This record gives sequence, structure tokens and C-alpha cells, in this order.
Amino acid sequence: MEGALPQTWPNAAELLTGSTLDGGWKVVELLPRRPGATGGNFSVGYRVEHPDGRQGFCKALDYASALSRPNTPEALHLATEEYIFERDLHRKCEERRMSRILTALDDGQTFVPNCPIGQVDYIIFELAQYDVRRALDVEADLEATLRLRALHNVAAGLRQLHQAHIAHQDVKPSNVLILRNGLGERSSKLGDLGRATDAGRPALHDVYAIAGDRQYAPPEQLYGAVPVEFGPRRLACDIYQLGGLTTFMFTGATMNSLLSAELHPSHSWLAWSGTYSEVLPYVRDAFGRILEKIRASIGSAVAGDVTDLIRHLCEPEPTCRGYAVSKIGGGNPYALQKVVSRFDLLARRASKGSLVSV
Amino acid sequence: MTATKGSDNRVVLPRWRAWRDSRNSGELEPLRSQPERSRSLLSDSTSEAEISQRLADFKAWNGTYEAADVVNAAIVLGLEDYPGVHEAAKTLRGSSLPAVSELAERILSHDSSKSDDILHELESRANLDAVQSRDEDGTRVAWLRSIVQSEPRNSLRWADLALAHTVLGNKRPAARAIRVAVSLADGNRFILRAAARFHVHEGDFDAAHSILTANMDNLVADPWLMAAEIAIADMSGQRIRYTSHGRQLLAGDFPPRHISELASALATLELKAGRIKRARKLFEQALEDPTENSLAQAEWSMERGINVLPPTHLHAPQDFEAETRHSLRLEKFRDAAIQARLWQEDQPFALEPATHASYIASTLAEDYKLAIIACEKGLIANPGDPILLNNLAFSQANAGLIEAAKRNIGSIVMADDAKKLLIRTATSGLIAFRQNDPHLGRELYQESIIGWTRQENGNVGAAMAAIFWAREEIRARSQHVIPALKLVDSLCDKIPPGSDVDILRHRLIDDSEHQI
Repeated sequence: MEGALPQTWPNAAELLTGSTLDGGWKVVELLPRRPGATGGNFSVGYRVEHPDGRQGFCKALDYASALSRPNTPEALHLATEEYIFERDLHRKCEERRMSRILTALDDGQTFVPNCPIGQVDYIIFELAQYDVRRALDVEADLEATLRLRALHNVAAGLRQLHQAHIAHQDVKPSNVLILRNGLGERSSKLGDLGRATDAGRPALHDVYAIAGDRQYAPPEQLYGAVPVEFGPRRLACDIYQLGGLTTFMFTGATMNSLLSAELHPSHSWLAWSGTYSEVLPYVRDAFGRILEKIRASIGSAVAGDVTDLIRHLCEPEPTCRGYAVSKIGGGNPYALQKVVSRFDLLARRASKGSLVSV
Repeated sequence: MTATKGSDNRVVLPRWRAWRDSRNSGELEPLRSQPERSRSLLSDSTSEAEISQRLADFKAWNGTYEAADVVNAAIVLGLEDYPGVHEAAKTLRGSSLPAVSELAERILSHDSSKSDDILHELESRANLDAVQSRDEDGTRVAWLRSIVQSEPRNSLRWADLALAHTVLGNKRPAARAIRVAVSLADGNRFILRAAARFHVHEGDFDAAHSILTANMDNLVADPWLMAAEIAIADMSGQRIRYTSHGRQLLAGDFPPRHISELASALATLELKAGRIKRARKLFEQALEDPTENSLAQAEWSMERGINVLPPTHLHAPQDFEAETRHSLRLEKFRDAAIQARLWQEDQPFALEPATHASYIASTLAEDYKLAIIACEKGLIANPGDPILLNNLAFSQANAGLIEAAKRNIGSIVMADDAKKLLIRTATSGLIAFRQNDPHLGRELYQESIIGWTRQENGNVGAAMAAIFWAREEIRARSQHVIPALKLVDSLCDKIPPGSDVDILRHRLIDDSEHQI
């Protein structure tokens, strides 16, 4: 089925360069679209500047893109819902002062004349310097300090979300953003709540068995098992993704790629046709071998501690994931307090004698 | 007398191997397909979108970690040959990230084999000319213990630890380890079958039965578990309770490999009941995509005159027992001895391969060194076993190791098993001959032969003892050769042609013609 708008018609979401948005934000340049993305990808990005010197990233909702999709009403509904959900989620984060979640500086609507659909809804975020992959490429001298502090910040960000009954669902290197303030000081934050789940509010993507990126999805999701309860399904997913991120930042490999390589081909999620509980013993055995590889691969003073963290974070069984100490006393079995503390402690140890603050 | 292989009342007992050596059997595969929903999650266009996004980031920055992100995604999503992935993989060659470099190399070399398989080779043990030393087996135990200490929920390694202990004859630690494995198993078929096999090895058929019937829903739904249950009940002489359930499973929509052993188990019941036609039909079903265990069962039935194997020689991975039996049928005794040793290496805890290997090697292949190794290996897991001690003494006597033979024959402790006693008596006769005491040797052989003739179905034992007595008389160039040969002739009168006794008799005749 053809989309509702001819492709030659002007797309308001792509014509914001040079305009000034509410709050004084000036739209400086249109950023290239990234091929593919988790979600419907109904947005365009701009670099924006505020008269007070702040820079930002503007995410503009692209109605035209939605209208050009097959099944237009559904696409339009999806785009609108995604936008509203993300905007409201960021407002909630702001209300709760979540310091480790990328801040939404503003949101609103603007109008572009002479377009069939002139309204453009947008959200303006803090502008990140780059994501953590680039940081690891260009700032390798910081080594363990950078990695551990970034991981501490991600863990803290997840903890802030979890305390508000929100699960991120898409923790991965490209969503760990490195920012620099006016004084040149670095910080790292967790961005992109586009696939998050709010226990108090349903979202369209809640029904997906794998809400976020498959590469960081926990194994139960890859094998098609979807726990019902919020804890094992959502919080345990975030915890696994944090472990996957840790694995990536210390070895360059992800837990899932290592699992895929270590599992016998017939036990891979690409081939397995049984249930997750049936394949779990084989996944668990592969996981044990992988931990030894990770320990050897890291090969530094923090290898033992980092491997132990990964062991708990990437535990294959979702109901056992996280730190056992968190499961004692009937508290939240997925509490991240100990994880945050351990990353913080390790980062401090790694940076002792250094003034670098990431 | 001679070595013996003991009773050969074969049933389709579950094999027990280290779990990674069990993958060829199909035992670790799921029975049924999940709804296609889960598969499509990984094959839709979203996968391509995910890899495209990473490739774009890699092209934009050309950094190590962007390349790593591409390689990881390609492996996870099964898109190793997606355009641009190899370029990213090349960037990682020689990087300071060994784990991801290894993954990149795998993509570049199109290596579909897994490190898993390489490790598998390291775990398998096939040094046929040496007894695995206790040190090596002990090292394996220590290695597995360290694994379960750091991975206490790893049920597979607990089962492997139980196996390693069983191979060493460490009964209590083995029992503890298998108990832990079962408690963690959550119905895992491999572990339940391993545990059942462990209890059979220990002679505790009730415990084996309990393991398999603890979850009846599992049992009646899983042909692998059902096959084990029927085989163990058959072996222990218990009532076979689930034959009808087994037949229902055979009629189910399972891939042929999954029902191969169940069909064999049911075929064996029919064979024993004399319903040959039914047995043959079930064996045909078992051999559609057979496990090595089913192949061995079919070879066993061929030994009993039930022609169930097709003219083309069937093979299955690790089919050492089937090959042993096949080589025996073809009277290729050297091949049979080697295959039996491989079978023993594959099932190092089990008595059957040890007795078969030592019997074939010593009696039919006359490879006494191989027979001694088979006995020594078998005695580690089965200390004091009278058949193995007898076969060891027989082989040692033939190899000129008289003192060791005397020591081992003297260490046999047996209560009131008359037949085993007669075997020991004959072997003692051999030892006496070899230590230049033909008078005593002759007495002992004659005592054994007379004893056998008084036993029900003792003609084979009597003939065998007579053949080996005659062999010793020929070797001693004594005046008793002719009476001994006459006795052999009379005792072999009703021995079927082609049987082991018949083969040994003809060898004896050849020897006598050369020597007399």
C-alpha cells in the first residue's frame, strides 16, 4: 500500500534548520539519519544552540515518515505514542532529578509553513560529545578508570530508573553518552528511553519479546522465553544488559557474541527449537567457560572483580540474576545498590592518584 | 581356562559420557519445535537494521570499538557474511582485544566449527595402548571440582564430576555429585539418564527406576527417558510397566533419532518373547536414524540370528560397540579388539566393554598386552571384579607374567558362583602349566571340565576349558595331547559352527598339525 503523502511533498521535520524554537533554541544543523534503529525511527535529529551557550540535540517527530509507511494509521499511532511516552518519561526523570539519565532540556511543538503537515513536535536533550565506543577509541589512555566510572554511572542511572519503576530495556554502548560541560569536565549518562517500560504506564513496545537491541538482549529473550512479571522480565533484562555492556567495555566482545561462539551450533538461539529451560544447562556451561575467557582477556588488576560482576549481572537464569545479597530479606531481588557500590569502589581504586573525573 | 566376556544379555542401557561427548547422539536436542514466533525474532528485517546501524557508525568513525560492535552483532544475529562485516573484522586483526579478535578471525576464516569442538577433542580419551593413569583421572576430578565450586548451579558439570569419580571407583563422591546434578537438572534428559546409568552401575535398579519415574509427565512424553526405563526394567527383571506408553511415543511425530533407542528397547522385549516379526519391524524403525546404542543392539540381535541390519553397513558416531560386534561377526578379531578398547574408552566405568575387550583381545585376537590394559582399566572402576581379574591373570600368564598372574588369580573373591569358580580353576590350570607344573595344570583343567559338564548348559564352558587344556598339552609336547584333543572333539560335537568355541577348536587343530 502506498503512503498517504507523495514523496515530493516537503517534510516539515526536515526543514527546521535556521528556525528558532520555543525557549530560544536555534536549530543549527540537520544531522544525518542513521540507518536502522530500534523502534519505528520516526524522528530526525538536529544540533541546536541556546543563546546562553548551551548546546543540545533536538529529536523532531517526523509525521511525514509515519505517513509514508504502509498501514498509515498504525504508523502514525506508533510515532505519536513513542513520542509522548518518551517525553513524559523524561519529564518524570526530571521530576525525580535522575542525574545519570540524559536530561531532556525542553520539549514543545513548532510549525513549518507551506507543508501539508506543518506541526513538528520535538524534544531537546543535552548534547553528548560521543558515545562510549568512541570514548574508548580516542581515550584509551584512561583505560580502566574511564570504563569503570562510565559503568558506575550507567548502573546508577539504571538504579534511578528502577526506583521509579522504569526499566530501560536498551542498555548498550551507543546509548552510554559522554558529555562535557562548559569547564571541559566529562561525565557519562544513559540515554535513549525510547524502549523503556514504565510499570505504571503501558507502552506500545511493551508487547515485544525483545524490546531493545538483540545484541544485548538477555538469553531468555533470544530463546523466545518471556517472563511475565516486571522484575524478571524488565529489571533482570536491564541487569543483563549492564553485564553485557561491562563485557563489551573490557573485552570488545559482547556476552551474547561470546555465548554464540561458545555454544554448540545446535544449542544456539538461531537453531534451538526447544524451551529456554531445556537449553539453560548448556547456556550455563558455556557461560562458565566464557567467564574464564573474560578474566584472561582483561588480564589487569581488576580482572577478578570485573569478572565477578559480570558473573552476577549476566547470570543466565533471570530469577537468579543480580547480587545474591540483594535477594536476602525479602527486599527487591533486582536491587542495584551493591552493583553501583562495587563499580564505584573499583573506579575509585583504578583512578587513585589520578585527577581524571569521567 | 580362558578369558570370558560374561553374560551378554544386552539391553539399550543409556550411555554415560561427559556431556560434551554426548552431543552426537541427539540426546541433547529438543524433542519438539517451539512456535515459530521465537525464531522469527531473529530473522526479520530488524536484524538487518541493527547491523546496518553499526556499520554506519563503523564507517563514520572507523574505530576499534565500532568494528567490535559490528562483529558482535554479526555473530549474534547470524549475519557474518553481511556486506561490510568482513571489513570491520579485518580492523580487529591484531587488536589489543583478544576476545573480540578471536571472534573476528572466526568470521574471516568462515570457521563454523566452534572452540567447543576443539575442546571436545581434548576431553575425549583414546590412547588405547595405555591405561589412563589414576593421576590423569584424578586431575580431571580436580578440574571438575574447581568448575562446580565456581559454578555450583552447573548441573552438567556435576554429572561429569560424578562420571569422573565413577571411572575412578569413588562411589560415595560419585553418588553425591550425581545427586546434586539431579537436584539441579529440572528434568534435563541427559542428567536423568546419566543418573539412571550410574545407579545401574552401582547395581541399584530401584534407584535408577525412581530417577526416571520421579516425573511421570516427563517420562511418558520423552522417548529417551522411556527407552531407559524399559531397558533398565528389562535388565533387572522387573515388570515392564510402560510398554503401551512406549508404543504411543513411537507413533508420535518425533524425528527418527529421538525414537531410535525406544524402538530398540521395545524390539528387544519382542525378541526375548520370541515375536521375531514384531522385533524386526521395531528394529527397522530404530535403524531409520540410529544412535550407536541402537546399532549395537541390532548387531547383538544379528548374533542371535535375527537379521535386522540392512546389507549396507550402517554407521553412527561413537559406534564402537556396534563395530566390535560387527567385526566379530566377520571374524576380524584384531579389529574387534581395537573397537572394543575404543568402546571401553568411551564408557570407561562400565564392566561390559572391559570384559568384552579383554576377552576378545586375549582369546580371539591373542593380543595379551591389549587385554591386560583393558583389564587394568576396567578394574579401576570395578575393583575386584572376578571376570576381569580372571581375564587379567589369563592374559598375564600367556604373556609370561606368571607371578602377576598368580597374584591376580589368587585375589579373586567369589561367594558361590559355581561357573566363575570353574573359570578360575581352569585359569589356575593354565598358570600351573606356564610355571612348568603340567601335572597340577592337568588336574585343574580336568576339574574344571568335569565341573562344567555338571552345569546346566555347561557344554560351551567345558569345550572351552578342554581346548585350552589341549593347547597347553601341545605347547608342553606332552603325551596327553591325543586324549586332550579327543576330549575336545567329543565336547565340541554340539557346538554350532562359527561360534567362538568352533573358531578356537579349528585354531587348535591347526596348531596340533604343526606341532605334532
